[in-house]
Amino acid sequence: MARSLIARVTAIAFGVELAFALAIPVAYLHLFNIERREDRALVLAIVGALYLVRTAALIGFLASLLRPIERWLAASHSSSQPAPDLTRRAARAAYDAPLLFPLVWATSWLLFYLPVTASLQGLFADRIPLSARAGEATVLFGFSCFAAALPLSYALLSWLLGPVAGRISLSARERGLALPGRRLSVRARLVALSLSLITAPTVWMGVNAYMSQIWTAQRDLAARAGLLADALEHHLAGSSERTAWVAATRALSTPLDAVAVATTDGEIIANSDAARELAAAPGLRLRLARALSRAPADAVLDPSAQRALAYRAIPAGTGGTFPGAVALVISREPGRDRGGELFTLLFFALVALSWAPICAGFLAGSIAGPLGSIRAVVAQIVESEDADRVGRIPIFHRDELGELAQGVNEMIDRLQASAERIRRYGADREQLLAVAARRAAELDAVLDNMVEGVFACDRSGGLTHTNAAGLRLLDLSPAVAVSRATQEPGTGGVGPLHPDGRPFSPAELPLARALAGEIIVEEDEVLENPSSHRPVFLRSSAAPIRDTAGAIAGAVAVARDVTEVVEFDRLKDQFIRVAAHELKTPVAILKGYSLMLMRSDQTLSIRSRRMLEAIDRGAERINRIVEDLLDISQAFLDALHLSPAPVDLDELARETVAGLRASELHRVVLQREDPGPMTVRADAARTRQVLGNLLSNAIKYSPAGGTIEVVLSVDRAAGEARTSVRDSGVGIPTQKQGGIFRLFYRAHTDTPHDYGGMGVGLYMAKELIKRQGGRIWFESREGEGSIFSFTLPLA
Amino acid sequence: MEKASLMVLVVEDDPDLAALEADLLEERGHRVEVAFNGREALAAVERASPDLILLDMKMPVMSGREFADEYRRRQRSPAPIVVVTAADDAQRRAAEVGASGWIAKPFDPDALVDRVTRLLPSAGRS
Repeated sequence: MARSLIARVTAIAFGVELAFALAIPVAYLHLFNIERREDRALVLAIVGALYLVRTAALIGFLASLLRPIERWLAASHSSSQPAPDLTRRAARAAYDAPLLFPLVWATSWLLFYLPVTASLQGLFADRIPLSARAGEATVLFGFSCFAAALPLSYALLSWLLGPVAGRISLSARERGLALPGRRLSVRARLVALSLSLITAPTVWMGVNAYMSQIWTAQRDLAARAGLLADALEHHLAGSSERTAWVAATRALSTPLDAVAVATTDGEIIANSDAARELAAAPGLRLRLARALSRAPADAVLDPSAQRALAYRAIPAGTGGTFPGAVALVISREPGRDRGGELFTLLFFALVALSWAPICAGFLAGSIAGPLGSIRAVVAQIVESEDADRVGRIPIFHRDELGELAQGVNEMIDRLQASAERIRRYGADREQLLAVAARRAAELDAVLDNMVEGVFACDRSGGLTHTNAAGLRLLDLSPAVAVSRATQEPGTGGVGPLHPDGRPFSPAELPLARALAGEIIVEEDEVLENPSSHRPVFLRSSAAPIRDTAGAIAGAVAVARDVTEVVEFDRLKDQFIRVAAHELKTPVAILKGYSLMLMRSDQTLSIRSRRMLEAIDRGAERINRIVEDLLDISQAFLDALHLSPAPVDLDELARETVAGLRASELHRVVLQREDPGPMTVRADAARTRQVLGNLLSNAIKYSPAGGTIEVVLSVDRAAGEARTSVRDSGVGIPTQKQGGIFRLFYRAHTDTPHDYGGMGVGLYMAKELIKRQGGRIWFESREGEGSIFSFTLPLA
Repeated sequence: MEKASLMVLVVEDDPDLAALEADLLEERGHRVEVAFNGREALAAVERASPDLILLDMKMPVMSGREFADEYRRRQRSPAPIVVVTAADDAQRRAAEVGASGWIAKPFDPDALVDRVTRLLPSAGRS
């Protein structure tokens, strides 16, 4: 196939042409009315020779045009890609050849019969005399051939080269090469073709009718002229008188026929009418002169367009005066040639039946090819879900259809680009989803292996996530993860309780409070285990989940079963309590006997007495520690039993001050700022304990000889009484003031002012005052002293 | 101050503390019987008919409370009872057993004697 493109195109193109090329000389012979066998052979020989030369030249030109295409085809058949330059040249050839070559081809037909006519007129004018109009007729004939050849050759080449051009265009597209070649719109192509299709038969009909009219007239004229010439010859026989000649010519002359006698030089010697007629047709006169010089004997001259001329030689013997005279007839007026018209019709029918359908067929093929490939690709796009497998449309011609194909190709490019983009998005999305799923699995694993139960709920309070520990807690009591008052009556059993035994109201539940925006840290609730009916302690934290706008989208709660911790704590407190109680009896024995011994035995040495005093002090110290431990364990077990009752604060303070272990080194002054009654609602013993603690601290941290003031005041508007204990002792360093009320906190640990103690007194004071509805606070400056104050509600 | 001689029953499981209480009271001229639990105490009241009972609450064999109930049930005119306890809620416990008073452990020796003297029936004092 690689070597056969030129051969194939040439064979098909010139094969189709050959059929018409054989018909055209027949038309030519008919047009010029060449009827004699020898004359026809001569003309056909000339035509044949010219045709061979012309066709050889055309084939050479066509081959040179198609050579880049052929080289491109060869290159694309071998494994290597054709070079871009070759591709460009092949594309240009494939697009330009169907435009350029038909023009050259048709032009060759336009010019083909001009040399034929010229050679007949020049070289063989005496043998085959042509009409005076032969030049014009040949030009028109050539034009008709041109108009016939142009659509045929264009349709042929378009049909043959379009698919090749399409292949090259696809290859160029893959390489990103712009398509070269001359663009010619379908409109221009169709207009030119239809003009040609109309022109070819029209011009042929015109020239043929015109010529046949000429030939018909001339044949009539020649016949008449010949008859008259015979008659004149008969008249002139035996009479050589000039007057007789004139009479004879006059007698034979008609309005259309001038009959005359002339010399062999062509000069009219009888009938001046004929001389005038001849003078009006210089061509005819010239032809007559040439005919007479070559064939002075009996002859009929071929007629010109309007006139025919016949002559007969008059035998010399008859007149003698003018030997070599000729009888001359010049006739006018045309007639009609039925046979010629029939030929014209037949020829036209032949053309109509063969040439036009062939042109139309090839043309249709050259248009249907590109349209078919566009349709196929569009159908692929429509039917296939996968744009990737859609091919590209070859561009057969550089016209609107080619641009349409190119547009569709670009559309497919974009489709594929967007499909690729979508695929990439899809892949990214898959990956993100996989990452998210992995993270979710990790989170689930982390959450499920947590000891704490985790509950997440949405804005409406419905649980959205519960981890494994959470599910166990839910089994224990569904109420742990309830976020609002949706508990149905009858299903609940025992709901969560506060550590002090109050039930949780629905709004107090951790998730409900978190949904309201609160952050809850380590709050305890107590549940009852439904199977064992033992209390379960939960320590819960909860927080709202906020969306990006900060609005509450849900809540999360974390709950830990702290029952063991709580029980261990309780056990520890109970142990302390029991141990402390057990210490009380030995302390009582120690104190009792040491005191008794000191009092009853007057013979004791001073040394022995000091020992007994030390034993008593030690026992007292143990006793205080025992008291502290009991207080703490009571506070922690929440077993501080307070019995609030109206108490006269003034009297209580007096008793407390009086009951202080007398210290000669300090003075305690009681001041009363309000003269009215000072009855508060309080537990007298515990309040005494608080005041005692504050006073003992004040004494402990005051220098010897210092005065300690106890100031009582009443704020009736606030409904409370205030007790302040002021010392002028060492004070509390600023950085230590924050923890002063904490359990076991001792501001003066490891300082010169460390006087021992467990760091329980102020903690207990705060706990006791708080539980009685009062406040406790202090002001202190290092080196200047401290004021501790507490309030109690007025009774 | 005239010192009446009274019979005081000390019910206390700790022998040292019982001895201390007895010593303190005997020092003041009172007679003292000691019982180490409620059951012994029940036997002692039969034997000695005390004017006052110092009663510990937590004891083996028979607790102070059980003794008090039983004692009240048996005796038509029971002697006053003073509860001596280390419990935090001494006062409440004393009320429960119908005691005339209470002394918290560890006690001030003088306070114990004072309390006993004050609670003794006036008839016995004169």
